[in-house]
Amino acid sequence: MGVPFVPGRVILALLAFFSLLRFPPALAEFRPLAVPDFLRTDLSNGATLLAAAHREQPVVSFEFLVRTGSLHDPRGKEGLAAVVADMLLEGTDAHDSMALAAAMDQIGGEFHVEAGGENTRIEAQVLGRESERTLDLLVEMLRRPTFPPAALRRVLQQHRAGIRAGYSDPDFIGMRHFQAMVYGSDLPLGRFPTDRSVRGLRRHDLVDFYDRHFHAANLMIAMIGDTDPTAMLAALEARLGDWRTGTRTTPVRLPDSFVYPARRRLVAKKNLTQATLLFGGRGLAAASPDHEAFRMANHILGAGDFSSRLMNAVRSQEGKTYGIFSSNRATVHAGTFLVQTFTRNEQARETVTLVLQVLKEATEGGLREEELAKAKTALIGSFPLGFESPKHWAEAALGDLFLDRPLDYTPQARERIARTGLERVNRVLRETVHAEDLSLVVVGDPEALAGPLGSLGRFEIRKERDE
Amino acid sequence: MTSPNLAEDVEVHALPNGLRIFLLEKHDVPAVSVQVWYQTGSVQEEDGRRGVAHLFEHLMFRGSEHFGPEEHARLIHDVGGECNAYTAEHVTVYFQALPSEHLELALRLEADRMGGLRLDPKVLDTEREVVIEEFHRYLNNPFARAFIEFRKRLYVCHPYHWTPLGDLEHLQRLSVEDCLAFYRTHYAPNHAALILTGDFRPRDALALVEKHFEPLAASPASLRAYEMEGPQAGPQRFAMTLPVEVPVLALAFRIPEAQHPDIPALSVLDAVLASGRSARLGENLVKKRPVSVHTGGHLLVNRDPGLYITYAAYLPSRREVTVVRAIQNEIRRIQEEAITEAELQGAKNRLLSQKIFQHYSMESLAGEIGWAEFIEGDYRRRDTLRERLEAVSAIQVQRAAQTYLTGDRMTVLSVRPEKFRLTYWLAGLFYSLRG
Repeated sequence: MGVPFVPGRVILALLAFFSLLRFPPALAEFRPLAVPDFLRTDLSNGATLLAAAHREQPVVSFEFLVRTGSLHDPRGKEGLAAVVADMLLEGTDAHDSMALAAAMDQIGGEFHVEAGGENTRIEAQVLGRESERTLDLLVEMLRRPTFPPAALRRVLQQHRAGIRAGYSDPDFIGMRHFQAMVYGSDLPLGRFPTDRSVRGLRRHDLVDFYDRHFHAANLMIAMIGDTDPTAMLAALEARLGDWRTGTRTTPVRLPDSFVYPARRRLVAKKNLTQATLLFGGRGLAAASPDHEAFRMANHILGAGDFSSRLMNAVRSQEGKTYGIFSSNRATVHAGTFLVQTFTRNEQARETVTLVLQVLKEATEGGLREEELAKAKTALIGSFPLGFESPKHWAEAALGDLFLDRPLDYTPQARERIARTGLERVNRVLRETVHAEDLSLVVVGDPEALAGPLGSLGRFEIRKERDE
Repeated sequence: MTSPNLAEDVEVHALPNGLRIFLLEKHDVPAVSVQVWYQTGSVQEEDGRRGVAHLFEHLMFRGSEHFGPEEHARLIHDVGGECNAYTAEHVTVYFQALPSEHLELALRLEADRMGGLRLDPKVLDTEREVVIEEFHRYLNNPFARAFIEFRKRLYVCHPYHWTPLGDLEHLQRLSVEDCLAFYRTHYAPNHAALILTGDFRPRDALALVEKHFEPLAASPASLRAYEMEGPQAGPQRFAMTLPVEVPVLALAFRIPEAQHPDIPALSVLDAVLASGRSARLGENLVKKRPVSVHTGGHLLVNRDPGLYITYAAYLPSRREVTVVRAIQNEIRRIQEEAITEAELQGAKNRLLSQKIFQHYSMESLAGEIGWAEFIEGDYRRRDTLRERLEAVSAIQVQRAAQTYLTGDRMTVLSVRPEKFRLTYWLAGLFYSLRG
């Protein structure tokens, strides 16, 4: 059946054709990139396994990802996921803490375990000849940790020392106050480990958390390197096929009723010559279909270094800071848009005013076509630089799996960026960021800042540990 | 590509104006790294002008003959590249990685600022403010502040006395004339090297380099000579009280320069003593006997004799002398009894695999070429690193400990918290008793 002739469609088609002609380089000039071909096995217990060959160096990378992290810490037990992650390195039923450390040192690669917000990563990068031994060790740490009490006491002490040391850093202080002020302690996004919450952790808390979240249904593995992927998938299946299954941990969500507050807080830290400024509010969730449109908007606003509006206005034009950056800290279902900078105390008022003015102009006046074209060129051009090491492909593949996206999602990022239009970018920016509703945390000397901040309205004043 | 053999794979050229060019092809991703290594850093600064080398790291982004302020960074970012710079004691390095089709852009920008920096009082004042902000930011970190002060005591004559950040008063006094004099002396092709790695054909790249760099004139000035530090008279101790939460102490030992044949043995020594997962300090001061919460080590190797620093963040309930003795006991064990074969092999595996992991990155490879050439004296030394490390024996590690980790080369650096917090003290005491 033929398609009826509709003049409007012809016009749209012509417009689309000419719009492609306006920006042909973005679509036509992608340099070829060798994307690894991951083989995939989905085990009956829920684990997903990926493996790919990459022969540039005699190296193999392992990436294990478990769907749980610090945002799943029970209330009052903040720090638990991070302590569990560290304790995976502190003993198994076959190796005590020192034997495990010695085994990793003998293999000689890089081992890393870390709890993020909604996932925990166990990583290793080793010489190819050590891949079997490494796999045995990683699976042992994942499946058979013992959480020995002596090691736990030490790890808790280290975490508490880390929190105490963090209070030397104005950025650390500012971020905690921001989380508490904006999200509040009722929500996981508003909570963080404290000396008290970590001190109160007990071994049974670790065991309960581990039993609940560490199982095959929460597990994804990607490995890549100088090895046979089919053989490695078989090796993984042999070691993990009989692991217990469980209920997949769900990502956190903000309640429908949640409204981002517009609050201002001065965190008193004496004898600082500079004020650390942190503006923030609603951002975009990682799972949003608009995440790339917002990435481009953010690039233009403050993530694009010297090409960004904020850097241009606040550093290049006015010399008020060494650096200013914006970011979108995204969890699966929530995002926080942040602008961070620092300035001399006496310049604090002008800097705050300038930042808000730049954001207001962008959200109300919109971004321009030429800015978007530049952002696209930059993001598309930078894409290959993010994949020099095969480890980065493994991380990207797991990231796509984690967000329930197809494995070719990241490899096709350049095409999606090229296709995104200005109208969409401006809509997403306008719907997400509202300059007048952003909260502001200033960390600095209260006496030195009393004057500069005086004309900016009311600030609640808190001590650094009184989040 | 597999690990390159630099002696065979790197093409080295020199222009008539003295610029040396190192070219290494690597086609794994369609991108290139362009680095300019100037043989100037904080050791080349005159007294009263400390910080000028680092200030230049900023001024060089503020415009040149054909490009406006920050246009260099903006143009590189606009094509998806990254660029930055750092200032060290002996070198100032400008680097960028960008899609390979834009190689000429990076060369044009670098040549333009090597040949004709724009400098006027307004630009100087703006960047001076930015640099002073950076300095203050650094000083807001108490450990950074401590390191600056300790360096002044560890190096009395040698310009390592100063960090590349320099001195705030000197920075305030710098004039446009001071800066131009520094620029004319040091920012010239005969005091620099261009290092390219990545996705290009050497013949084409060289033609582009010649096109943009050949017109630049050499500097008649030579590099500045400076005084070397004499031997340490005996053990020293320096202490500071700062707004930190946990006490930290470091034992700093004088070690030889980067070219010295004992450096590989010292690297293994550090890996066994302080820097590995199963390093002895961590095992014995943190895990077995709860004295510290964290231990580590840093080998500060440079063109001139450097430092080996071991450190411990320790429980407030412990006395400093107890921690010093505990670290010294571990050092003594290595001095008296050779490390085990397993420790030796594990340390070598770690050091070698770290090097191999770096080979994925164009920037790391360019950096290795620059480091080996400018700090160790010959870029081809990187090729022999593996065999030099493999050749280290347990006896050599023992001898290195006996030679360098001695009392007369040692300085104890102590940082204590300004505030005494009884709760932390009691918690630490409780923890150490239970451990």
